[in-house]
Amino acid sequence: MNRRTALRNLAFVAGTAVVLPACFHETTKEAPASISLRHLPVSASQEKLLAEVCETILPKTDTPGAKDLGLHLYVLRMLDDCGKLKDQQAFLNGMKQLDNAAHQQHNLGFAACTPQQKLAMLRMLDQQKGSPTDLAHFYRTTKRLAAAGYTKSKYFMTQEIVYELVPSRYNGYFPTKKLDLARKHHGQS
Amino acid sequence: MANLNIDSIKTRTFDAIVIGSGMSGGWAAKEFTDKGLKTLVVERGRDVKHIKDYPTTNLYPWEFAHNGEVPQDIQKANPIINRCYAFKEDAMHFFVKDAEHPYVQEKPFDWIRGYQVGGKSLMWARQTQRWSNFDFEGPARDGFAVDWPIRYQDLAPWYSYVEKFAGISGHADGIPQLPDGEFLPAFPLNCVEDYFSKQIKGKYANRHVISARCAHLSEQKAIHAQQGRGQCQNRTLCQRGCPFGGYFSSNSSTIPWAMRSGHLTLRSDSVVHSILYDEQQGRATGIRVIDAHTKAVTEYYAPILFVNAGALNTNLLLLNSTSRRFPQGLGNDNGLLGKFVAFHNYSARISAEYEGFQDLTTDGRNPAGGGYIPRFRNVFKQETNFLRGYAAGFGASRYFGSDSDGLGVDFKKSLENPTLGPWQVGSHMMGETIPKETNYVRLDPKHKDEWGMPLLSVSVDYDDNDAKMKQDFYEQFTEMYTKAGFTNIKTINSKQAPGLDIHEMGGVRMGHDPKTSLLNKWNQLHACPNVYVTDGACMTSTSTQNPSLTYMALTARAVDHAVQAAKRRDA
Repeated sequence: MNRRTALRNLAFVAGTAVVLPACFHETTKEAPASISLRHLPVSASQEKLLAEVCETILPKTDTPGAKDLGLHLYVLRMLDDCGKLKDQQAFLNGMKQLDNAAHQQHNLGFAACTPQQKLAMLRMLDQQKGSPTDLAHFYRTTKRLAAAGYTKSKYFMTQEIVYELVPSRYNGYFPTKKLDLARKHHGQS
Repeated sequence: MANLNIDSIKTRTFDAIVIGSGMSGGWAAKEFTDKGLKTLVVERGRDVKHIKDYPTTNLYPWEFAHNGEVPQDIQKANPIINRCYAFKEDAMHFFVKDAEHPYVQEKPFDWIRGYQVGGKSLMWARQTQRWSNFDFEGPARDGFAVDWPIRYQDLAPWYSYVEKFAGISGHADGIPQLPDGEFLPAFPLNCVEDYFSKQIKGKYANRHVISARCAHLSEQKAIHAQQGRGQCQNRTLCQRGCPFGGYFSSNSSTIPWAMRSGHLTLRSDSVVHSILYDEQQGRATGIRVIDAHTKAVTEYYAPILFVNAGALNTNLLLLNSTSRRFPQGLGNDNGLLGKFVAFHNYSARISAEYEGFQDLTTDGRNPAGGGYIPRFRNVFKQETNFLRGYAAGFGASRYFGSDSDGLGVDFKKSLENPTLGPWQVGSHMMGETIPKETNYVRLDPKHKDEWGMPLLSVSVDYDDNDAKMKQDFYEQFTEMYTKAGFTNIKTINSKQAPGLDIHEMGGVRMGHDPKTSLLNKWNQLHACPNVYVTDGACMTSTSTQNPSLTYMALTARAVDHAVQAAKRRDA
């Protein structure tokens, strides 16, 4: 562990002193999420946890990461408005279970874990097959929605691909070798 | 006072009244105003002006709050309309919500409606295949309905007439059961659709896979420029309303055309309660209209009335138009009004994959949707144990996909670098159903809507003929797919209720004999000839082809007849 990571971890540990009580005492009044939600009682700290989960799934590289694009807010909005009740409940349960698991394994809330610890926890969920527990359900839902939010984001559809509202063409015999995979047009397949 | 009254009646008197502004009503409006008749069009829904009232038409995908999905609370509140394929975030404002306009389902029936100026012509799938004599002669040959009082020859010039104005793309394919029309260039088939077409041609005597004919301006002619419509831009976002006027709708074409004539009065938010009948004159004299918002009742008068309210609503309106002469509904001397309703069976699909053409894909978008397979069963002779047959759509496409496994940097890379999947093919059945007396609509005896109209009660179902036909579709297409080398063939049974096909027809059918039909060969009520019905309600049988083009042709023909007849009376 280099010095920078150690410092960052320390900062996370210090930070958890504030976060911990909120995680364990759900009945106490917590700050709500930063966007208004009609069905999901999500707190500001849970929102932060979700942002960390999304960033772990889609981290910042040489392209924007989940946090840069606010993908956790997309996940919350879609689940709140378009999710079925039972999926919403499983999601909330699973989110709490993830935080509890982080406490058990690392004595820290998920958001406060190191990037490596976060990745390791989520990788285990990613590799789980079969019918999902609430925890796995939470992970899969988040991953599915975050990925959709990423590929449908304005960033992705203008920079990674170019979405064309008006293609003005149809070629049913288009050679795949002519596809510019570095800059795909939405009109192509 | 008396003079004021007369003036008031004068301002409410027109040369012709058209009830409904959708596919056929728009044509009636255009034809009457072209001929110089002062015309009133009444529409129960709100006004929708071309371009101005298409709120989503230029939105990018990321500008929708829910990525195109319909929120759960809207889905739950609208179980019926939510089943419609086009009820999505970008176009849901054009569909009737379940609670706003209830009806009674004696049997499950998904009634898909668009109450606004333009009606469903805004959101239709724009398929425009002519009917043939195999369709118009079918009932006489097979004995499953009454004989049509017209033949293809009666309609052919009117098909040409409406095709030129609307703009229909297609190939002249020379297929007897699917007559060629006045076509703009066809949208081409893609490599796999073409391949399937050649395979089928080589292996079967009377089976064809052709470019679907559709109401898109693949080329702008002078007549389209005069309408203010431009070439189709291949957006395939048609259900939002097209800012280019690239596809035909009442909103982009017939209604503004009629408006420019100076002869059209368009009243939206006007629910027609009934058609007024004058016993002394022995004719219909006008309509009673209820303001959708204030509920105020007004009467309008004209010597010619066209009913184009949409197939089932036309039945409802006529059934509700009672008088001493017509206690069972206008023109309903034989008690058959509302009966012999039929539809198209869209409940079967078949999909597969093709491993060839890995080096080819598509670029751009095809607004025609791909291929069309005209009916090939029982065409020249009865050859199966079911009556009639089915047409089918056919399409092939490849999608970019990415590996959904993993997370972190690798997962992100895979999303950023999707790969092309295999070619996927799909076909959906469009089956003719047999009009039966037991498939009917009627007025609910107890319940009324907030405008005082009885609720429509619908009793329409599949029968054994449909089941046998559907089985045949699965078998024939499995065989055709197999012969073409397609793999991973899957049949899909949607088990959807009638109605979801959005091709309900009949109830006010045409025929020679007033004892067995409601309308004559000019679409006039036998018993009240100044009332014409030219929407889906008039259809004697349903054919397998999409019906809208036929409604347009019938309407233009009927208006011509009505105006000629009026002139003869004057002479």
